[in-house]
Amino acid sequence: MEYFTDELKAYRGITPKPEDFDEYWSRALAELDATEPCAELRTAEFYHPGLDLFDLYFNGTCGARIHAKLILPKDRSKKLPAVLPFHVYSGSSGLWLTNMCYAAAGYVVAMMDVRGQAGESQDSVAVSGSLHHGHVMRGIEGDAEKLFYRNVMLDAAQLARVVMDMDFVDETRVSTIGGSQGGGLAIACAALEPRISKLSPINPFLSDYMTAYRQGGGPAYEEMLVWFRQFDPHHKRLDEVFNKLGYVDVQNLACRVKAEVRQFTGLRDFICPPKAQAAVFNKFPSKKEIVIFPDYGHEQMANVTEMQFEFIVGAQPQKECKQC
Amino acid sequence: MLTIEELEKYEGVTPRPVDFDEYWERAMEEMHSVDPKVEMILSDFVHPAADCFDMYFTGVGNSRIHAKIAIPKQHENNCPALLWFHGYTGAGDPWLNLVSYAAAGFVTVAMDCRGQGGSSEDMVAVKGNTYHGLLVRGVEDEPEKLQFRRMYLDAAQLTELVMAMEQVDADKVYTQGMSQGGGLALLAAALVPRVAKCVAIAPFLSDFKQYYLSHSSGPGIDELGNWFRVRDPLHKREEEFFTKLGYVDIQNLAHRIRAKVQLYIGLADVVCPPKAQFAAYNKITSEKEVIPYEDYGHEMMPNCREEAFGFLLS
Repeated sequence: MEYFTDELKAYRGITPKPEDFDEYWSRALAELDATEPCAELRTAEFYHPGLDLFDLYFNGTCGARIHAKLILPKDRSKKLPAVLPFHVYSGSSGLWLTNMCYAAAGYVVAMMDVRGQAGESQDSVAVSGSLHHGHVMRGIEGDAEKLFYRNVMLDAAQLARVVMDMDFVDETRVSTIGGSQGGGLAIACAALEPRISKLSPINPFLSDYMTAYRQGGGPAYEEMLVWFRQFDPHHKRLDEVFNKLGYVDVQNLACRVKAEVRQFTGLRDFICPPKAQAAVFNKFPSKKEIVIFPDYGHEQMANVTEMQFEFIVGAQPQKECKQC
Repeated sequence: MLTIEELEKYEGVTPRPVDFDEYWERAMEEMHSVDPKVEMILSDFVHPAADCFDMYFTGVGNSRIHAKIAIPKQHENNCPALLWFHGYTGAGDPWLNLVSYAAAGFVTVAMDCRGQGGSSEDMVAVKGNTYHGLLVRGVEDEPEKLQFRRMYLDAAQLTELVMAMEQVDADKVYTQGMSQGGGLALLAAALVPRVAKCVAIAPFLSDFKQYYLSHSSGPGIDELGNWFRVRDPLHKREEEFFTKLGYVDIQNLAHRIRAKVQLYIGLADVVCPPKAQFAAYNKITSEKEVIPYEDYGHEMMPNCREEAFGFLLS
């Protein structure tokens, strides 16, 4: 049974790509180039006997100080691969232990807090319009430069640059992973920093907002619904709004990705609809594979984290038998 | 359910910061230093009894604030004025609601609270969580950065602007509202004590810690629990958190009110706990009256706007 159906394979998304999309991101990346990260490491409060743990702070665009948790293997005598796990919507980089399996396998792990969500990173940008709830529509009333996710996506790229610049990191082996918002940011990061070599999004969010609006549920859909109810009940600005969201739509950034991709999609995802996920997957120009979970939705899908780990770490375990 | 007699003894549990009065003195100074740059634009909505304008002014933090204003067509200046504040996350009331007051001779004004569902903006970046909630917006920054401080100053500024209008009798300026709007009605009467009458229906914005203790539920209140869950799950900063919210707790300003006050309260309110409402009400020293509805919760109680209308006309 082919679950990645012809319909999904052919789906190209319905959210517009603004005409000046490339200029928009060229300007944004130029701004990032001009943003000196001024990275700072502080020994973390949490202790682990086999690993070195730090709080990493760096400058994002628009004057924001961004925080990430950084886990380093003790042995840094050779260049190490790195993995950047991004977190879910409204959350934070979370627990030190969550991604230690990568550090234990010799990876540098850097987990960023998305600005203005539950972690420590600052949301430095004042915007016009509604502020009560949600980040998807934040900044929709102003210049497209004020869209909330523009700066978050640039923060993700800045994190990749900071990590790649570390002496002990092999910048040709840096991967991005994440579920939901984290999946979307993993994609954005790999698009804006094309040296990222592997990308593994799970049920990615931030793709094809209009499909999410028409078919989705959950927080992002709710925000859009509330926004239209309050500010545009007759949908007079529908085209304008989705065209503007198109600037921060990862399906429009996907063509920049050079990384090898393994995406995981649950067919029963009613929050980030499979079509919206297919829209971005179909636009990756690099080597790619999609793994479908037919019976799972927007959740921890069976052994997905292990499949992702195998993809990132790559090598099969060497079968050696000490008794022989 | 507590009786009125029990509620009348309740003093509130949210701490009052030691420099509370200086905080609001500085805030009012800041507000008075802002050039409001008032603009009145004739609205698309037309009505035979009132001239309807969209009013814009600059509030603190260089933000443009919008209010609807309906001015009676037939008047000889010296009009009474009514400022009608909206519920949390909403927007200024529809024109038809305003016009029913304007037709009775009131200059009637409905402000959009900044950053909520109307068109007022809040152009101030804050540290900490910006994903959800305005009550907790700025709580991890300086106390001056609390979002509600700016909203309160907008309410006071607009009240003073309306008082200064040539069509308005400054001694007949009234405030009214439900929930957040009821809180803002009390707040405006506290920061601008010349306000002569105040109608607070199920007011929010008082005694925030009581919301948390009562496990009340509603859009403003979920924010408190969410904040602790993600930022302080073991409540190590609880005292600091509620003390900071104390700066924007209207019970701490209620003693400044000189207006005649009516409080309409549903005693079964699980959104804005009656205790929290009474924490503010009990601190009012001017003439006041409570109109309790035993069987009502957080809702527009039957006939309460009509009763209040009589109070405002009297």
